[in-house]
Amino acid sequence: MVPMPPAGSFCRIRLRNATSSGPEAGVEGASRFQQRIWRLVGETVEIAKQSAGIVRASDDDEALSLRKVVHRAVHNVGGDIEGLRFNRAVAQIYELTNALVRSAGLVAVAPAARLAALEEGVERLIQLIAPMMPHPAETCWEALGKLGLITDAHWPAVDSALLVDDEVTMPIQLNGKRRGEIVVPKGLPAAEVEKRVLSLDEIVRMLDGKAPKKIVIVPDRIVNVVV
Amino acid sequence: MSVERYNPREAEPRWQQVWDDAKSFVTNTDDPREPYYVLEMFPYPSGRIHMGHVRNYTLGDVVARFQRAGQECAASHGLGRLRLAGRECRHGAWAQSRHWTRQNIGTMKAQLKTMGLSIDWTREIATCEPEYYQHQQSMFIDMLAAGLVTRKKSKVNWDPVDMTVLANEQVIDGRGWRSGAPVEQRELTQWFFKITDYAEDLLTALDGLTDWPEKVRTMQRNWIGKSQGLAFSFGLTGAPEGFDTLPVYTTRPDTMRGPTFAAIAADHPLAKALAEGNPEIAAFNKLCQQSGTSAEALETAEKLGFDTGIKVTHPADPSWELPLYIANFVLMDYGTGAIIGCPAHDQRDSDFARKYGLPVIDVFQPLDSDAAVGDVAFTPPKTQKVRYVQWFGEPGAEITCREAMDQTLALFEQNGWGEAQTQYRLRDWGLSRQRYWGAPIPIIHCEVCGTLPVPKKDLPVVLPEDVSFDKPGNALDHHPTRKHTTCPQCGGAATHETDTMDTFVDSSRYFALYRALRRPPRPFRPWPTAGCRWINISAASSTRSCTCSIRASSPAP
Repeated sequence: MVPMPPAGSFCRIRLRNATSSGPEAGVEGASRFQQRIWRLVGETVEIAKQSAGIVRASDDDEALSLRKVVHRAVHNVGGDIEGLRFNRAVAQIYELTNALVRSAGLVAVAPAARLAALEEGVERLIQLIAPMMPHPAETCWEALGKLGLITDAHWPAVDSALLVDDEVTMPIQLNGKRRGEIVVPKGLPAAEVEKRVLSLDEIVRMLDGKAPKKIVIVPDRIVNVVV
Repeated sequence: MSVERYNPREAEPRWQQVWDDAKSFVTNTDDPREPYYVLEMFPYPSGRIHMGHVRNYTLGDVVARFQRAGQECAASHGLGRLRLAGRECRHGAWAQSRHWTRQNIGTMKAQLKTMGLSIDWTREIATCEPEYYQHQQSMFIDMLAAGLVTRKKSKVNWDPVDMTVLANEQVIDGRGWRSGAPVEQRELTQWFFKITDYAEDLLTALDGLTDWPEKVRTMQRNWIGKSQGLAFSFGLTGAPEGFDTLPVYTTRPDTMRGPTFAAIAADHPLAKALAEGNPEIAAFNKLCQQSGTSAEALETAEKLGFDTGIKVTHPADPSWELPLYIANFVLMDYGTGAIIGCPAHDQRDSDFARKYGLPVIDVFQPLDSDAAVGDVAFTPPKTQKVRYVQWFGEPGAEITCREAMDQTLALFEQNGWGEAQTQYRLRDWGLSRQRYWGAPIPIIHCEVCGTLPVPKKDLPVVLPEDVSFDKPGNALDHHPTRKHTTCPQCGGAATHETDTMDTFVDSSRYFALYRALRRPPRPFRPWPTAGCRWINISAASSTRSCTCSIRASSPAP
């Protein structure tokens, strides 16, 4: 009997690379991805353990932006699987994983809101990979202390309030060259944007004490500084 | 929590066992949610799973697991397998085919299980088992009663060494793909599904298949090959008795001033009649019948013709005479088996005319040139404007071929020279196979009562397992006892049909059975999937015509 690859699930996520590179490379990539998720689950459980009973200053903004990423991913992956756009679904899962790994890596002990967001994010991530990699998903589900099988779990609900994108990233140009960017609430008045831009370290450094000749701001789009 | 690596070798079999024990994937028919049915093409039990299987079944499994988790859907994930690996294996292995097939099924199932697919294995089917093909035999009898099955003579590719019919695709350079023996064209009495009754339905229904890739829909349209053309008859001068006219169908009525010869197929009744008194013609006809009839074979084979000496006369002008050839590129199955040869605007006709020194008449020319056509026929798209120089309309008219075709057609109808006709290239589905591997066709031949269906109470007609393959041909035919039965009508001695069904019949209906099988008290319903959302990963084209016919022969569920 020709041996199957030991992990059938390798073949699942490897589909992403099936047409572009050799099958071995795809299997390796899928295997690494499994281990990455497994480590993330371990770290999350560890952070939760360390944080128990410790009260820390809250950073609700960080928690909120992570939750937005998570709910956006749940929403998109569901739509992509339904629409048979598997490569896009996998890409979204990779992006979510990156965001969660980054978030988990920043803290050893997390404030309550931050921890809740991380835990929710990891739990959702495991649910998103379950249709594609059911075996590691079950193992992770068990490690997270969830009851029952993930195979029987319902697809996670999306909080549509978190899908609303209320921030914009505006590029900043200095004499026509892109020098940086600024994230501001949507619809922020030009005067307020100007104030924030001029207080940015890198802009202050580049202006070198001189007053700008002119500042042109297209709200929600771009900032142009002329010196 | 440990920092050990995730270990798939340990985890995968463990979870598969857990899912198995929890019956996680057995369809719960009491689930109040709207059912969702994921259908995938079932595997052919060739022995081993390959990466193509892994890919396909993974995609289907992602959808099935996602839908199971979904808020409003339950998933039933079907998988079955197709019998008859026999076509690809050698005689030695054929002898144990059924045993062999079951062994392969076991191997492949074990391999598929290592993937952890969410398959409801309680609904597994194998088309080589009588519990599967009995439905097919029952449907065959229903379709026979509804006039959707017919028995007629048809030309087939015959491999004289393997003693079996070959599909066009199995004839390579005029030789059988397995035996290498020169293939003969033979006439056999065969069973057919009359899918041509549904040609228009199949065509118009394509418009609704908006999820299908456009190239597949185009392929289907070409396969159905609907054409509007002109049906007319040539007069015949010097033909044998009984042949006064020669009916022809052409899709290009606009070229009716351009023919320089007429040609008939080697198995046209007129060609056969001529062969009787002329050994030279008989030899030529035989030569034609030795080449393949696939489009590719016809395209590449050298054009051969035999001048019969007979003249045909033009329907619009009885004084206009053209020579009549027998030609190897004319097929009896298409149109009427006779063509008009218009060398200026058809490449095959052009090649033929150059070879046999026949004149070439330009019917139309490009707008920017009045050079006569050369070795390459001038075949612009029908929507392109050209200048008509030799036709039945106004000379020099600059119009599209499409317009000229419509005008000529109207003129011919007006003058009673011919009539407009719609034709389809689609042919009836020949389902007879002279081999052992297939569902036996449930028919009894009685010398007194004729051809009768097996009474439904006697179904299934089971394929015997004690067969020998020590001589070529159909093992059912050689079987010492299997053939003999009694006539259900007169009770006299009769014989079982020894043809079996094309295995595409098996594979064109399994999707309907996953939900119906294993519930013996419930009668088979042809549309058990009605009313549920479903997704078909990899659709088969033959399925469309088959289900069309099944629907027509069954009462509404």
